[in-house]
Amino acid sequence: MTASSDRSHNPIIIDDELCIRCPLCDIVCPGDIIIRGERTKIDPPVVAYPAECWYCGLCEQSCPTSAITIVFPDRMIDPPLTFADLVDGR
Amino acid sequence: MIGEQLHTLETDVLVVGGGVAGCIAALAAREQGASVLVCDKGGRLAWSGSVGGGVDQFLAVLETEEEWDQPAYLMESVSQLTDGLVDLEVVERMVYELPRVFRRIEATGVRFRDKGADSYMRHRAFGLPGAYHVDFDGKKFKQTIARAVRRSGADDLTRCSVVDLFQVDGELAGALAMNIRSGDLYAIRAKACVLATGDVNRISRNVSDMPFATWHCPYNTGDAQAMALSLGGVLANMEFIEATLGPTGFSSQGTNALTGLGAHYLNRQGERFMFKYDPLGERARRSVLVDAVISETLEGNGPIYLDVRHLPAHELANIERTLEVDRHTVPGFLRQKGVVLAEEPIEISISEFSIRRSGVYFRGSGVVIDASGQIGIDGVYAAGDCCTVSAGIAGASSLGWIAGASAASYAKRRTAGAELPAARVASGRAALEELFDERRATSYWEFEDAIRETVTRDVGFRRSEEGLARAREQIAGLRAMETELRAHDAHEASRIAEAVNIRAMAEAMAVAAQTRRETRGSSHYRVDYPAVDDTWNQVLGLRRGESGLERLIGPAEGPWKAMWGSSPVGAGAVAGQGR
Repeated sequence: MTASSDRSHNPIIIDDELCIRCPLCDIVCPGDIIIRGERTKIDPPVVAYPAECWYCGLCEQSCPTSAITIVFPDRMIDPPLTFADLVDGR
Repeated sequence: MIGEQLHTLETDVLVVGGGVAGCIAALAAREQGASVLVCDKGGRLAWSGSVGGGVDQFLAVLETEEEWDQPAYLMESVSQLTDGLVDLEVVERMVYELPRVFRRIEATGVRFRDKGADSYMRHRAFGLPGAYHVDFDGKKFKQTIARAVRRSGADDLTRCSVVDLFQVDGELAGALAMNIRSGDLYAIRAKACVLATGDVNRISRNVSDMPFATWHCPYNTGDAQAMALSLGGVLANMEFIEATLGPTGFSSQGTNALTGLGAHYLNRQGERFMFKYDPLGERARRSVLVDAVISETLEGNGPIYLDVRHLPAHELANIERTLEVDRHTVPGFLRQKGVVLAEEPIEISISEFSIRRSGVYFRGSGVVIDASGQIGIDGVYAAGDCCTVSAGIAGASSLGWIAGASAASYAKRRTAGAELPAARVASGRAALEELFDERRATSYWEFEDAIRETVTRDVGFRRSEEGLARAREQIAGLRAMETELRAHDAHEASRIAEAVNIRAMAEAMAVAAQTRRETRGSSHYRVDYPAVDDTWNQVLGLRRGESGLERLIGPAEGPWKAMWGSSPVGAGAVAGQGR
């Protein structure tokens, strides 16, 4: 499987109850991945481009109510390839 | 989606990239009285760039009473540290400027000392000949210097990607930038500019096959290097790769800290193998550690583990905190994986590779600059990891300062800047609009995956003539795909611009790697030329020519600016050929 076939994992889990709809996660994200809800005071932020996350955790770190948790995909916890595979071109 | 608004702006100095190098360049240019505009793809300068999330050390020469704490003393080691492949004139300027720049940064409010402490905490690292690195709590380093940039009166344009630089009659005229969320366009008239967009990532695969989950910032994609090439600048050291060691599956910082604490490296058999590779064992230089883990893995002795169980209890108790300083998310990763460092060894692996500085302090890969930071093009300067002298945030700061000051004084000498070429602005806009054409059918990630697959297999950790020739052909062929790339929003349009730059960097890397027929550590390992060849004590430059990239050869230790006006060499004229 190539990376392009697995772009669905959302690493940025936002607790809707805890989120106070402030703009911080949108602002700090270095990849323009999290976008503040359209009705800013009502809608929660949207993780618009989950496959482009750096896993830097700035959003998790900056959230004033700890509403964000970074969740790693299975392919990072248990990688499908080994270093030798990459060198051999598998 | 694109350019519903076209704004026109004007500045003396345009800074492309608002990381450490760009921010310090802005401060220096403001100090000279120039007007400054900083463009960055991030949401705010306070968190953008490679160290937006924090940093914990700064290489400083402080000119204290210690013999080693002088620029001249450090300079004596640079040649040996870099294997000679660095422009010494530029490093010297950078090192001599360091004490002043360090104090200037301190004056912005960065606390390099703990509260109440009268001295700096310093340690020795990266094979340097003294305890140059200042340890500090740099969680807010970037926020502090970004505040100073704002206070200085510099303007910024965030969430904006510079998509084109314009010259008129050999003089810089300005740039076209796009807001990566709204698609608004900015035509920026500028007298000088500083390119500071960092290193090249997303160019190879990792074991998780997660192209953005990288060690270095994945939004750094060689934008400055590509712009320099189109303007006629020279890139050098592009053949070298840089990778790191991280917990298997997560290319990240962190293992450096564990290694620093005294972690043991074990192979599958439980052997502490590092002593086979270096008498210092696990205390060897980082590039030696990476080389050793690569060799050990390829010899079938992997997986490799880091073991910290023997460390004192108080260090084990703080180990999460230690890891977190380098990369906030590493402790969470280990928790999800179910690894408890105090109780069991953790498997580590080699990350994807980038084009940055081949794991060697000072030895950058990228745009060739002179000691004033200029790139060989009037009015255009570069600093930070995108250029050929690189030394963490210290190098970025010092060279940023030099480039910013040079750009400001150049801008001052130009009484009237050139008018923006309206036709170029219009064609730049049209090119962006074309990305939304429904007949285009290829996503930027499919295009990037194809680049990464080729680069990883044939331009990676083990290289050969056959593989490199194949890669060059494939990477050149991928260029045709660029006219098929489709964007659905401005964000994707900016990713496409990045992907196009990544391809250009892959091509440069393949050409350079094929040309250098020798091996230099694991950053350039040719299985068909597995030894160091002293006739290759030369720098290899690349410049855009009529029919592809031209190869230039320069003196290893500089001045590399000698390559700017030099004639290209044919493949046959290159050293090491025909052996």
